[in-house]
Amino acid sequence: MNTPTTPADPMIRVNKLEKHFGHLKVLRGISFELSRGEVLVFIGPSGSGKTTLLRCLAQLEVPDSGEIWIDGARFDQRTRRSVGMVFQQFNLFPHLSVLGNITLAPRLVRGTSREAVTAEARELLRRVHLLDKAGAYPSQLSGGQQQRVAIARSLAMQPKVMLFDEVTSALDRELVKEVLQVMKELAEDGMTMVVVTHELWFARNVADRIFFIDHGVVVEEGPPERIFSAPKEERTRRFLGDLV
Amino acid sequence: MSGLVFLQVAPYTFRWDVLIPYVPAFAWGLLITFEVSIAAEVVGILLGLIAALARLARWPALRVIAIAYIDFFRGVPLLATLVWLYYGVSLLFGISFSAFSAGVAGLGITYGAYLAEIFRAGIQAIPKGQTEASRTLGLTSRQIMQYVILPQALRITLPPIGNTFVSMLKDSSLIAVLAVTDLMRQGMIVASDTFRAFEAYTFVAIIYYLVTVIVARGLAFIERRYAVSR
Repeated sequence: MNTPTTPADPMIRVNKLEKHFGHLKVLRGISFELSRGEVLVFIGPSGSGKTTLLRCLAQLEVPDSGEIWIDGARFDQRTRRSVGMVFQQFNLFPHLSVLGNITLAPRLVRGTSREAVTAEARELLRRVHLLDKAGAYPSQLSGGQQQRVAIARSLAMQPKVMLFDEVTSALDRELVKEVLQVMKELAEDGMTMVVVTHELWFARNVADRIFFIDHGVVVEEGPPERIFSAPKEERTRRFLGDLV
Repeated sequence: MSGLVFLQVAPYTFRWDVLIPYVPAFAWGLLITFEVSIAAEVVGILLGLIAALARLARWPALRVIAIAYIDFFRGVPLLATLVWLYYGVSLLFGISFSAFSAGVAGLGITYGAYLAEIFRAGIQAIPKGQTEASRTLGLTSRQIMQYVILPQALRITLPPIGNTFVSMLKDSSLIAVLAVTDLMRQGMIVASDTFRAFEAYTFVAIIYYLVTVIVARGLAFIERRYAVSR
């Protein structure tokens, strides 16, 4: 089970993942590998299974079949902490301050002292450019600020992989950029990331690889330059055509 | 000229002055009413919270017990519960407890059934995203309930809980049948002492009315303050 990991091991290995809700097959055998520090962007029409895939990686859904390995270990309850997730609707804790949101899980789960956790949280807030909002409550923040707090909260558990599920879709146009900027910086710092997004700027400039999925299967994959300039598949071409 | 017969009714003369010697007794009764109500509300809140958590538990047996408790005590009249507890339990088990304890227990157990449903609604009103975010942060189910769901649920259930306390102040008058000398019981005593039942019960009714209105307004004030200062 706990085989020692080597840097050569992929950070994520997904093998023939399948998931259905009732008669609806949402994921139909998805497989991929992701190296340490790589940024993978999923694009595809709504209902294509992108979000379900992320939710399986975050253990919010149980796949019907297939395997997920994170950093060489079979993904189970104990390894859950190695994957962080940021949601479309932020899901900040409204009854806690920004600092409270970030420090809750480290204190409860990692058992770190309040002082150490607070120092870490301040460092994370600096990284997402919100140090001045430590004492604010979520309701006092803009959507973009809330989402950046959510990113900091997730990072506080020191995950090996970060999942982003359409994190800018609920934001006003002018707030999208500040969130994407933070994600770009995170990628540049070497975080392994799986991103579901409709933001082509991000896909083009930050992603190492792009997966186009539709109807629960990977239709096409490749580096962003190629996917955007010369998509092989007709479906990919049509999807990108609709977006641009 | 018509077939109507008018009863000759002597005009009733109120004699409020007969109540004056009993003012300390009424005050004492009001104090007992508050004691019983507060104690029973605390019992009700604790039982209600436990029942709500059991009602939402993963283990089916717990859910069944919680549902049975809620159904039973919402279905049985409070007066029946009180009398049964006070007289029945001592007969069945040979343990006797004071009328005060029986009253607090009966009121608390019954109110717990209603409060359980209030707490359950509050817990279920918290968006699923809160639980999901907590899970991805590695919190256990118990930690999620304790640190994420309950603090938010209790905040939104505060107004309905306040309402149950206002009802409690009035429903506690039923324990007068167990001879607990609360405000209602004092009214009964004064009525039979003075043969002025109308005055005694009117006076008692007015006090209940004033007390519930004042408490309700006070709770509304606290609610507003709390809402503003989050």
